[in-house]
Amino acid sequence: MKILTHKNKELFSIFYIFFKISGFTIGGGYAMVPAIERNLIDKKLLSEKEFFKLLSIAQSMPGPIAFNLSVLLGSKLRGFWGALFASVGVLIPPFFGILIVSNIIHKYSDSLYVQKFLDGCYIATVGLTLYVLYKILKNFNFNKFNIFLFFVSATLLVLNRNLTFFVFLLLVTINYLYEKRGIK
Amino acid sequence: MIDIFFIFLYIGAISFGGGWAVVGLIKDILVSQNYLTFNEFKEILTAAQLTPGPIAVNMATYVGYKYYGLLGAILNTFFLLIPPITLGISYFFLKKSIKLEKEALINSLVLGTATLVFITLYSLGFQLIINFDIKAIMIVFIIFALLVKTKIDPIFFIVISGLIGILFL
Repeated sequence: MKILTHKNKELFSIFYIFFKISGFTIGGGYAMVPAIERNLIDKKLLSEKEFFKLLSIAQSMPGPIAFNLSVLLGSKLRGFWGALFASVGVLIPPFFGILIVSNIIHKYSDSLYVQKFLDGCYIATVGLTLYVLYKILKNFNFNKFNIFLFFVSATLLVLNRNLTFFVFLLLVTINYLYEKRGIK
Repeated sequence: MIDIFFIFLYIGAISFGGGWAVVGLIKDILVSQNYLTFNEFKEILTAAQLTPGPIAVNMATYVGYKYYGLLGAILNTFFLLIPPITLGISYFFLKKSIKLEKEALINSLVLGTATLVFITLYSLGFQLIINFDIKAIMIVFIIFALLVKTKIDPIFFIVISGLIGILFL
């Protein structure tokens, strides 16, 4: 039985592209998107137009953007097996990375220095979250209606976090129906 | 204890617009239900930022590992990703039957994501505000200003802020 047929080679090259990008791009999903784009388009696996179409779908799905892209691109290139190889490739580096690093941190977590280091990192995370929120709001087209929705749902969620899914779904649906009416 | 998988399935279904939308939710659910201590949460949050990969995936892997070992890590990561896997594979079958106004949908999802990121900010930052931790709040705003004004990689701020923690906090 020949394992390295042409088709299988293509699956492994899909796996390898996603594995490499996932392992060597620090800075999260949005840093990975241009790297994925360059690799797939350079290898002539798909056109730029197709890539951006899938990217916009990946952004409107739940889940991490780089993972969503890997499923959609793999699935587009080679169906189910393509999706499987691409997504496993994306997941292997973070899977082992987090297990190794968190075990090292956990082992020394009694140390006062490690505790203080973690406290410092936590503060940076709050600053980073503020920045993420700023970037989203800066590029958003606000009107009276969606500002109102934003405040109502934020207040509800501050009061009761158990409502998160329900409030999110309601907010998205109401705003969608409102905007759609505006388009027509 | 199988609940943990369903918690992450729920988190996976709502994680629109990247991991920051659900970090607050993960903290609220797992810390309040005693799956993680606040210290453990800080450990994973830091480890997640020092390693590659999406933050929600990192958290799912770690929590699964903590409760059920390697198999738990694999299963929990899988449960988190069931929603995008299902949608990603079925997209090519569904796309003909669903007609949505794309721009209106994306705008609405961004609005929803903004709300969730606000809740994450509230949930993480609340700690600093009730402790009236002036030094920490100043660092938050300095890092925010530098992120806006420069193109320095966020991982640099995480490490520097950790070192500041050792020296001054």
